[in-house]
Amino acid sequence: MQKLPGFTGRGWSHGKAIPQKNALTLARQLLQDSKAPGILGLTLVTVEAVTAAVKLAQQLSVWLSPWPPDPIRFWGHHAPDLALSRAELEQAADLVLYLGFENGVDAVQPRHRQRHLSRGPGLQRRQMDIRWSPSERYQNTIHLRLHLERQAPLTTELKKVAEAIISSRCVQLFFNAQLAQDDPHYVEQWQHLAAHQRKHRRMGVSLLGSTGKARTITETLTWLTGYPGPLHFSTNMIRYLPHVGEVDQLIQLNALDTILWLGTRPTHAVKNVKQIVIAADPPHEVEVALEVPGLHPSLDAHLVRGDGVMLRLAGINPGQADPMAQLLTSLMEGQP
Amino acid sequence: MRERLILRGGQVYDPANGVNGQTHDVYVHNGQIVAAFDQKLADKVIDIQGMVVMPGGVDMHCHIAGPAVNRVRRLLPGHVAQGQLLNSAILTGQKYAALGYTTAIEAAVAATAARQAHFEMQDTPNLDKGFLLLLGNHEQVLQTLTKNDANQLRDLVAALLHRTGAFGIKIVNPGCVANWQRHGGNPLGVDSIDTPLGSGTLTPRSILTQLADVAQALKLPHPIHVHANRLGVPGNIDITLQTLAALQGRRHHLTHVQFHAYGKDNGAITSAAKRLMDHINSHPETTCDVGQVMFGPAVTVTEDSPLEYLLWQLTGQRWVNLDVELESGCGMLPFEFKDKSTLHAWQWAIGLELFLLAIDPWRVVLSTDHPNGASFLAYPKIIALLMDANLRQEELKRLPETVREKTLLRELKREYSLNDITIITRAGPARILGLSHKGQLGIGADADITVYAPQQNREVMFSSPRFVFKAGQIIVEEGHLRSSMAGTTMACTTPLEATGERLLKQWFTEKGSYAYDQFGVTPRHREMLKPVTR
Repeated sequence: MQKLPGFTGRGWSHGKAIPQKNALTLARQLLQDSKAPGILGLTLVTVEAVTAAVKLAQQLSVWLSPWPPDPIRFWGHHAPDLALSRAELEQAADLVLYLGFENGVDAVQPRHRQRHLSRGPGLQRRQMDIRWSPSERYQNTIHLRLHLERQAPLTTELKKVAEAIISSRCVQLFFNAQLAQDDPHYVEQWQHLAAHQRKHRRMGVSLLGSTGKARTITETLTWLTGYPGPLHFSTNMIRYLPHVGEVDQLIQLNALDTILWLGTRPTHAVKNVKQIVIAADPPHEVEVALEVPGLHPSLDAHLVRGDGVMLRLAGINPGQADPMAQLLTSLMEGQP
Repeated sequence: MRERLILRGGQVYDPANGVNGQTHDVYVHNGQIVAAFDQKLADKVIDIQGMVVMPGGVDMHCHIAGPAVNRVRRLLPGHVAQGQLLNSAILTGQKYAALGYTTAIEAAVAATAARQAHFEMQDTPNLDKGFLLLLGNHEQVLQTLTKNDANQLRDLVAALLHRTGAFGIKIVNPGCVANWQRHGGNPLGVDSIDTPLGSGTLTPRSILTQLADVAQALKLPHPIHVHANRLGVPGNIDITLQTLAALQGRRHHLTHVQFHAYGKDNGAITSAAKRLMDHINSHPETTCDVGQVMFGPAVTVTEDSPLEYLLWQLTGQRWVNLDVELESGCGMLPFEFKDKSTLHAWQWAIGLELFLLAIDPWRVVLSTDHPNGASFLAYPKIIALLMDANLRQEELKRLPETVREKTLLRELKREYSLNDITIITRAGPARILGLSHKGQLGIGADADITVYAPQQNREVMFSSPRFVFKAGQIIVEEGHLRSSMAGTTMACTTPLEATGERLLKQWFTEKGSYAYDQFGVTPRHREMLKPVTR
C-alpha cells in the first residue's frame, strides 16, 4: 500500500457494502446536486462504455476527459518530430535503449526484434536496458540531461548511459507503453532530452507494447465527437481542449465539484470534490465516497476511506451487455 | 417504417426506370417503393407538386470511417471545429443526409482496421454504408500472387473479405506502396505497369489482372476499384492508359480519374482528359469516378504513403505516415487547392473536362474523393458548374492565363440535365456498386428519396433539399434534421473456404502482432451486416 503525494488522510480502510440500488441512488443524487460535475478516466473501458459516457456527458452538459492521459494521445503531440523511420532504424540506429521493460522487452512484444530491428549491412549496434526505480527515474533523467547538455558530473551507472549516447550517431529509444501510461511526465522528460540531443545526433523515441485498450478511448471519442478529448458539452457546440493536461488545471482550480471516475482510480489526491468511481477491473464495483483523499495507483488496488461506501455489483451479468455501459445508462435515469 | 406514404405530384427523375421528369406519385410502404395503392390506405400524403424527386444520393468513393480518418481528425482539430472537411461520425451522417445522400462507401480500409471501421460506420447515421478492403499492397496477398495459384488466391481473398465484412476490393498504387516501404527508392514508383517490383517477378500488371479475375470469380457486386500508379504526377496518363489496357475485357472501376489524367509539356502538367475519356467512352467495361478538386482546404488521406511523402516534401506540412501491419501504407497531410496555382487550376479544369467529355454518364460518377479533392459538401457547387456553362466561364476567369488559354472548358458548352445529374449522383454509382435496390425508384427499391424545390441557382437547390426520406421515413425537412436512422452496413457475400481460413490463421501466427480472434468484424457486427450479391 502506498500513499500518493498530496495524500492527507490518516489511513486506509475498505468501504462498506450497501445494496446496488442504494449506491446508484446515491450516485445519481451526487450528480444531480452537483453544479459542476465532470466525467474523467475512461481507461480500460469498452467502446460501448465510452459511447454511454458521451451520452451521459451530453445529458449532464459536463466535462468528459480521458485521464490519466492516454499515451497514444499524449504521443501525438510529439510523434511527428521524434519518430525515426523504419529505414532509419534499419540502416542507421547504432544504439537502442529500452525503458521500463522490467521483464525484458520479449515479455511485452515477442517479435519486436524481427519487426523493428532488422539491421543494415555493416551496422554495429548496441542495446541497453534501463531499469530505474520509480523513486530515481526523474532525478536520473535530469542528471543525464544536464550532463549531456552541460557536462555536469554523473554517477558511474549513469555515465555508462551517457557515454553510450555520446558515442552513437543514431539512437532509438523504446518506451514501455504501459509505463508511458502510468507516468507520462517521465516520457516527456525523455522527449525533451531527445529533442536536445537532435542537435548532435539522430534520436528517436517510440512506444512499444501498448495494450490497445487505451486506444479504444481515443478512437471512440474521436469518431463520436470529432475530438479525442478533453471535451465540454455545455452548449450545442462541443468545446475541445487541445492539451489533455488542461484537465489537471480544472481539478486544481476546483472547477469541478463532483467527479465520476470511469474505469480508473484517481491518480492523485483531489480535495473537496465529491467522487464516484466505477471500476473496470472485475468484479465491477461502484464506490461512492464523500471524499476520496488518495488511492493506490495500481489498477488492482481497491481502497476507499472508511467514510465511503463500496458495492460489488454481482447482479450484472457481464455476458449480456457491457456492465459499465449498463451502469452509466442507469445513472442517466432520473437526471434532468 | 411500416406506414404507408404517398408523395403526390412530384417531377420524378428515375433514369434507371426510364423516367425523365414526368409527373407521377411515389408510393412507399415498409421502407420500400411499392405499386400504387388506394389513397384511403395511406397514413400520410405529402403534396410535392412542382418539386423535383430523385432517389437518395450514392457517394461511391469517400473517406468517412476507420483509423485513418480518425487520425486526420486528431491531426486537424481546427478543421473538425469548422465542420466543413472533417466531422465526427454522427455529424458526417447528418450532413450527408442534409445534402440528400443516403448511401456512402468508405473507399480504403486495411484489414486490421476493419473492426474499428465497422464500429464507426455503425455510429454514422442516415447512411447505408460499406467499405473497400485494401489488397493491392497486402503482403500475404502479394506473396500469394507470385505463386500463380488462382485457387489459393481466390480462397485467401474470399477469407479476407469474409473475415473483415468488406464490400469490395480496393487496389491503391498497385504494389508500389509495399515496394517503397520495403525497399525505399523513388517514391514516384514505376513508370510502366510491367516494371518488376523489387527483385521479384511481381508487377503492377499481375496484381491488377489477377485481382480483377478474383473479383470476377467471386462474383463480387462491385469490380476491383483501382487507384492507379503515379497519382498526381505530370505525364501519368501513359501509365493510366496502360492500366486500362491491361484490364481490357475485365470489369473494373478506375477511381478519382482526375488525378490520373495528366499530360506533360516541358515538365509541366497539361490536360490529358480527352485521351483518357476517349478510352473510357469506347470501353464499356470501364467505369470511373472523377475526384473533382475544388479550391479551398482539403486533406489528403490515402494508402498511397509514397505519394504522401512527396507531398510532404513539397509542402513541408505537418503530416503522418504509417504502415499498417504488413497490409498497407497510410498517409495524411493537410492541403489547400488555390485558384492562383497553375497546377491546382489544371486539376480543377481537368475534372470538369472529364465530366463534359463523357459520352455515357452511367459510367462517370461524381466524387471529390472526400476529403482529398474537397469535402462532399462541395457537391452542389460541382453540380451547378456541370449544369451551367456560363457559370464555368465565370469561374474560369479566376484561373491563371495558361490554364484559361489551354483548357477544353472554353469550348465545352455542354450542360448536364437533371436526368444526367441523377445518373452521376445516384443511378450510375448504384449500378456500378451492384446495388440494385439503390439509385432508383422502381417497385422494390429502398425508399431513399430526395425532394428538391426547383431553383435557378442549382447550388442552392442541391444544398438544401425540401425533404429527404430514408427507408420511407422523413429524416430531413427544409434543411432541418427531423430524425436519425441507423442505416445498414453492406458487405459482399464470399464463401469462407477452409483453405482461405487456414492461410489467414497461419499468417497471423507467424506475422501478426495480435491474435487472429481479434481480427475482423465482431460477431455482433456480423449479425447486422446486410449481404449484397451480384
